[in-house]
Amino acid sequence: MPKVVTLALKEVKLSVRDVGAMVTMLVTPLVLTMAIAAAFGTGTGGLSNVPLLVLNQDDGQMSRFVWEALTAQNVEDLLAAEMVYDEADARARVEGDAAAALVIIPRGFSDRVVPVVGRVREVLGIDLLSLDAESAEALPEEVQEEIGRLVLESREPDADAVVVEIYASPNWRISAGVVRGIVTQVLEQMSMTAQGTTIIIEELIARGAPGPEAGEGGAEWFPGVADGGFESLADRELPVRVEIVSPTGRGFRWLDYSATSMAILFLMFAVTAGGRTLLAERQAGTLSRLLVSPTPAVAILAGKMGGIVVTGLMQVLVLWGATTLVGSYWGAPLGVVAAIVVLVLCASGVGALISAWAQDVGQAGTIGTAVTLVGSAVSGTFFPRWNLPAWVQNLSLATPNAWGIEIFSALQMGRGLDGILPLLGGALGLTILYYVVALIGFRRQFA
Amino acid sequence: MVRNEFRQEFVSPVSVFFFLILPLLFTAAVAAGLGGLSENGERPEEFRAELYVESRDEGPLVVAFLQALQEANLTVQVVEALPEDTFGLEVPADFSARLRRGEHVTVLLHTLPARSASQAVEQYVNAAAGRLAGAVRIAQSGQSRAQDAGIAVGAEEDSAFFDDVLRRTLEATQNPPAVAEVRWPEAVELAGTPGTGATGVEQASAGQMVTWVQITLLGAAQVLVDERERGTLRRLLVTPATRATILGGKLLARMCLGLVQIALLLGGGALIFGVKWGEQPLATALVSVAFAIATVGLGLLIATFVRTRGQANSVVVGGAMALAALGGAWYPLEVTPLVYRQAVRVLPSTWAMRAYTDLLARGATVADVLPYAGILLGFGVVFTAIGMWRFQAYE
Amino acid sequence: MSLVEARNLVKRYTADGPKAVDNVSFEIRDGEIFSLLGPNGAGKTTTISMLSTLIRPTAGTALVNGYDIRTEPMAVRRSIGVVPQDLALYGKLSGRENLRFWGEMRGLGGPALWEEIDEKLALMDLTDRAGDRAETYSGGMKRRLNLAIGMLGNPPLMMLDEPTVGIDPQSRRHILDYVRELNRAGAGTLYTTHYMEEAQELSDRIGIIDRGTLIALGTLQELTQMVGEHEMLRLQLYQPEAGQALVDGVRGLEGMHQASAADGEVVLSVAAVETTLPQVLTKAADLGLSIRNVEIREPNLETVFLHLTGRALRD
Repeated sequence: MPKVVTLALKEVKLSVRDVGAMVTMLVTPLVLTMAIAAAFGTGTGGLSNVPLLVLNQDDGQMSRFVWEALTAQNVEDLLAAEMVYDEADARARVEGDAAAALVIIPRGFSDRVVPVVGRVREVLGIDLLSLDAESAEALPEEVQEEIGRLVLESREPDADAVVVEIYASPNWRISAGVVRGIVTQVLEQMSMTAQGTTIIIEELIARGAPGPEAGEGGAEWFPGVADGGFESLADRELPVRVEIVSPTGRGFRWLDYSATSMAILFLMFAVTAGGRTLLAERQAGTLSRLLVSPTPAVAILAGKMGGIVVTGLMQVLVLWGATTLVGSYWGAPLGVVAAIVVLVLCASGVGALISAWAQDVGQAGTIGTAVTLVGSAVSGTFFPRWNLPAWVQNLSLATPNAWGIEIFSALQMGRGLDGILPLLGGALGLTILYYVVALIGFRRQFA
Repeated sequence: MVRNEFRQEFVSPVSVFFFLILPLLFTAAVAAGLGGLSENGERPEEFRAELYVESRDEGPLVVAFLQALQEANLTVQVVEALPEDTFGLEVPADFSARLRRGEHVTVLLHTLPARSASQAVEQYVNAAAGRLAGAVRIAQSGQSRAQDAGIAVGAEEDSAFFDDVLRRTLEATQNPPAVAEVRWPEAVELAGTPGTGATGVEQASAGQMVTWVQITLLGAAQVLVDERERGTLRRLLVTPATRATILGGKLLARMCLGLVQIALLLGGGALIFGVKWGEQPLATALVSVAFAIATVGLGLLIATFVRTRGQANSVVVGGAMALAALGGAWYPLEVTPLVYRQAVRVLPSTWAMRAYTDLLARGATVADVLPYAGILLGFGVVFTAIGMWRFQAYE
Repeated sequence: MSLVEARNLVKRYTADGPKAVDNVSFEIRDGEIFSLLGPNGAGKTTTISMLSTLIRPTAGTALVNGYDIRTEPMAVRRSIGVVPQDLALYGKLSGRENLRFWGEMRGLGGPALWEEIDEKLALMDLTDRAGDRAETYSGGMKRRLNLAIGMLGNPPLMMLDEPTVGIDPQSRRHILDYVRELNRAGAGTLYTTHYMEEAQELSDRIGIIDRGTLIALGTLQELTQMVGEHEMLRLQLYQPEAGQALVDGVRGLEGMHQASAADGEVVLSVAAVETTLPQVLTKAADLGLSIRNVEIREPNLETVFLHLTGRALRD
């Protein structure tokens, strides 16, 4: 067996038998990935089953559209809305963190949103919303005229807005924001429908349609508008649909991102620890013994690094397999294999670099941990790296972590091996740089 | 003994680096990553994103759509072809025509999935599309009513009536009769604002503090193996002090170390990142002491299992990270499923994070945090009891 | 032919630093046990490191098994088995795995290696624990394994660098026996030690090294003859701190050759004990010192060292 292989095998054996090393290499990243898988699932992640309370103090009919929006089919998984009736109790539940938020639809809500409905009921005792075109036409002429007049009159563009309060627990800020978005949208649709009705009448009159004063009715079109408009709130089938296109064809998934970025982080821990063993061997005297055996120094170094690389490869392959089992996706297999090989080489360069320039095991340990952690922080291991300022993103390209995240993101976006070649080239360039500087250090140490 | 431990910890600038600098660096990075540290300090609510729009249609409906997008906090740039790696919107050539005919249209939003802004951009575009669609619906309805009533409003394709109703309806949205407002239980001013999901700096400051302090506190796991490897444990064990005294001294030292670190990191968070620590000093201190007791207790328990320094080190760092991640120190628990939220209640880190975020988010008082402190102390008692029991047989 | 021919070896660790080894020349003949004896820091390990090609001499060279250490290091390494002072083992590998690894590093392999490993394990009394990790071995077992590794491949020359440091007397006894056995099997041996007794017991020839210089070389008999008729007196005082005072006091006495104090002991080299001892005792009484113990010794390596350097070997 070539000596380099013997040396590399010894290295692998030593790491595998080191309980502490195995915990760092495999157990911790697996536990963390599992935690993230449990937290975000295999979907795009995010909110689900947000416990929401709804208190309706309104006595009109419009508030039901808010309730419908919060319990609609498209937010079924997102929100778990519950109708409540006791305000003090509901507020206490939010304060006690038993609910994320309480939506309070205030008294007079309907009258403010669609004033004409209230006015018509008040003046004529007729429920506008229950009218359809046919039943409206059946109304006496003067009633139709009165309705038309009330529609035009009861626009109050300058009155104060009524506030739907979302009383939220500070521990549920993201949810509160989402609920506000949903409520805002339904309020907007509602008020557009109400105001649009008036606008249509005004525009029709402006174009020569007889106004209510003309004594020629108009109710035959009004209730239809209202009816059609508000119906659309419930089904929310709006004519403009936004379709999200992502370059991956699959959405961003926290599990994918963190499974790979954590793998690189813990690979870095492993290779810097591996590099450290060179110094440990020097301290223990086994390096001297190796050097007086009939083995060239280059072979010893190559065997050592080879062992670290093989260990790193095994580590990342195991993490790939294990995290795939819990549902993470790393990319097309060929590309992933190439990426793993390049990244392990690159990371081993950091290990070599540190062991070549550190004075002793303790120093190498400190530098290794610091480099690994700082590298992971600036390259975005714990959050999407593209959210960092551009200069930090560029700076972090000096770390294998950043290249790893870029490469795996490209793979997860559906690129194949050919699509990541430039990135692999970049990482290899960095690897060569690490090793050149490491060799200079080794020459200095062992001259 | 406590002094001795302190001296060992603060021997070099290196310790200070791991103790203080690195956690603060992580806080900055995570806060930036979560989108909470924008360069001009804008509130997430006012966060504007850039959106490129490619449209083959230049009709009034597209103009109205662009207007709605602008009003939805998007800075719109109309381009011939969408540039790569940006948020882009593709509007079909028959956009206006189809809407006028009462048909549905689909616009394509090219998103950048991994950017935290993507959530906001999707929300903004949806809001703008919803507004336009609502107005279109009104205009369509008006158009058909007008036709039914026999009023001349022009052909579907270029109806000025349609355009006028649409325009005025959209204008009317500037003065909504009803608005939704988020209000919080306490009158504590919040550093972050709901809306885009960014809770940035606060989440980062509390979360990173819990993560790094856990490494220090769980470090209690190392004291036994340290002494054992140095051969001084035996000497300590044969001194007239009881095992409990020996342990007490060491654990107390660890705890103090952790508390000093908490104080430094809270101070750093307040000074550097403007996080409002210190509104409730007594409550914060109470939570911190309880957190320290619980975690040092866990450290002791781990200590009785590990056999070498390397093992202890790995378990401590890995354990601290896992506890932190699971307990909501890395991402808010509200984004996790119900079962998860319930399951992680068995971890001390979950309660510590809740207590700290409560202190920050709602200025919790001593009375408010008492339950959390009680739970943490309970963890501490249980861990320490099992640890002590195992230590009696430790050699 | 000689196994080792060291010619004017010089080693400086830094360009303008002191010479750790200064102009050392000696020869080790086929099949002989050659000891380098000297106190800690005398240059023993530096010399062995140069001969084993671990470090390059600053000047001078040596032939090992006929190969030049400067120009043919690989051939040198193939000719030697080194047992370093450190326990250069892998604790996480078993005894057998350690032997196998180091054997392969020597270029051995195949059934011949397996056989040899079994044989070495048996020789070193390690067969029962061969499958256990070396980190679980006692200090003596680790030393024996350390030695077994050096013996792999039965090289013509063994270099042992203080192989008995810090172990119990029994294991030490074992190791000395193995070295002698090894020698009987035909290997030449370079053995460094600061224990006079070991050098005396084992060696065919002894080189005494001090402060980087080889100050004497020869068989035990030749070396002790250098001291001539001198005998050695070893005195223990009840006032250990006063040793130097007594040395100063007795220096001028008739028949006094060398005097030295260390560790509360005073060591004197005298022409005739019967005439000098009473004078020394009188001197001590004059100085108000009381003597706990007096030992009279025949000339030995320690006497030789004292004779040559004016210091006791354990300085």
